[in-house]
Amino acid sequence: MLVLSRKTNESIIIDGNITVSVLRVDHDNVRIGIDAPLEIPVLRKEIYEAIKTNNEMAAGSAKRKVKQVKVKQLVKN
Amino acid sequence: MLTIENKRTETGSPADAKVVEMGAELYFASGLLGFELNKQFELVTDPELSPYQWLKGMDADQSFLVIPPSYVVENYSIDLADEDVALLGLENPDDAVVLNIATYHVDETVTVNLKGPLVYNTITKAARQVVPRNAADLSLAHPMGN
Repeated sequence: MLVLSRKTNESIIIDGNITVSVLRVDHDNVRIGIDAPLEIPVLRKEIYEAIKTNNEMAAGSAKRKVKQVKVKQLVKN
Repeated sequence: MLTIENKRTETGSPADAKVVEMGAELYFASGLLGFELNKQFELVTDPELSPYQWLKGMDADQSFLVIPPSYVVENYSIDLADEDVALLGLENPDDAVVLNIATYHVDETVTVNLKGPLVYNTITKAARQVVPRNAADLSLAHPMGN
């Protein structure tokens, strides 16, 4: 992992088009600004990981034979 | 920010929910989270499973069971970030169709991911798995049948 030290209002540039700026530091809380091209998704890692894990479970479950009647019963009507 | 609401009608019938036509091809330019390389999907309707549908990968052997949120919760409202609105090319909330990924568990229960919905623009055919601005209030594994 590349490790850099930055002060408040300093930035790093990734690949010439992504800017990560340190906006404010308050004890263990760091406020970060990210300026990236629209098509580059930027998410908090814990949310990304949670949804990714859920997607993997869903994809895995789709490979099992879905018992149709059982599943249909679970629909809110 | 754009808010998409999926409410039941007065008659209470989720059958009034917007549905994507069978065989519709959805293009996820960014893939799904964790499945970034799979971009092209087809929505397959199986009458036996309705209102669930299959989101079937066309560039990979990967399918997801999906369901419109109106069959899952009474009111479902998501606040889309400006970036997602722009990437979907959404100009009107009415052009959007929302689907949620279901997980069919070993014990035959089903949970639905309300936190990371799929949004599809019926005009541009662009689709994205989004993390809405109000994701903190939405369940990752909403149990069906409750």
